[in-house]
Amino acid sequence: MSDDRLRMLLHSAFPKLEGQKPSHDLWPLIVDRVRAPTVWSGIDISVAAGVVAGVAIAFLTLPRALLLLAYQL
Amino acid sequence: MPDEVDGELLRRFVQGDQDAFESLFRQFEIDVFQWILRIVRDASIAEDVLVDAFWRAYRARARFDSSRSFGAWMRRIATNAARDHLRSVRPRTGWVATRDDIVAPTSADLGLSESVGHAFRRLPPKLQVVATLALIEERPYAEIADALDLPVGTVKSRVFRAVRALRKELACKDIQP
Repeated sequence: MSDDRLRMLLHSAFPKLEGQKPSHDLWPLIVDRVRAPTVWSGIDISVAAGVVAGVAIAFLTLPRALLLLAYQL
Repeated sequence: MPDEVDGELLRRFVQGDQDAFESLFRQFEIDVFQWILRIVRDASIAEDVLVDAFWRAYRARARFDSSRSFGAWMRRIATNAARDHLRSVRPRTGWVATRDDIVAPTSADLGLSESVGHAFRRLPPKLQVVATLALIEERPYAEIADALDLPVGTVKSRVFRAVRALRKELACKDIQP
């Protein structure tokens, strides 16, 4: 399949979308989103706890490695 | 994108002033919407992604350098939000796009273009975004590179990989027009 042929088929499958606008005012949705309190999911809390635990274990078992890491940062 | 933004307005935005944020939203809303629409190809999804993009911008306002282009920064955020959307809906197995806004081709290419569309939607999102902008929307490589914060060479390479993947996918379906 030539590049031109592929391009033509893509244009046929995905026509250009010109000059469209949002169907309604989206600002109120953005304000709601901005004002919504940050909710921590179970996964967020688990990851944060895992990182803290990992750093603590590394600090206890490999203090020199942490110093090396701190130096690199 | 319109980018003659008052420096004072940008400074207020960075400080969290919601009036300044609304003013920037009103100024850039349509351009950002049209940019997202080019990537996600669906107006109602583009509206959702636009809300997400401006929310991300507000959340990241402290990192914005007000001496730089707000339009370019916003476009990068919008591109990332659109790519994240593509990632979340990417078909794993046979998935057919259901879109009302596609103008049906009148030629015998109908089935073929559907297959191409289907194969295109199965590309990895990072290739799909670049290929949509380069091959379908025919945006300049430099503009795409700026929106994705990538070197132009990387954009060219992704377009090449997208075309190769598309050909491979079509070959798997025995499509050789």
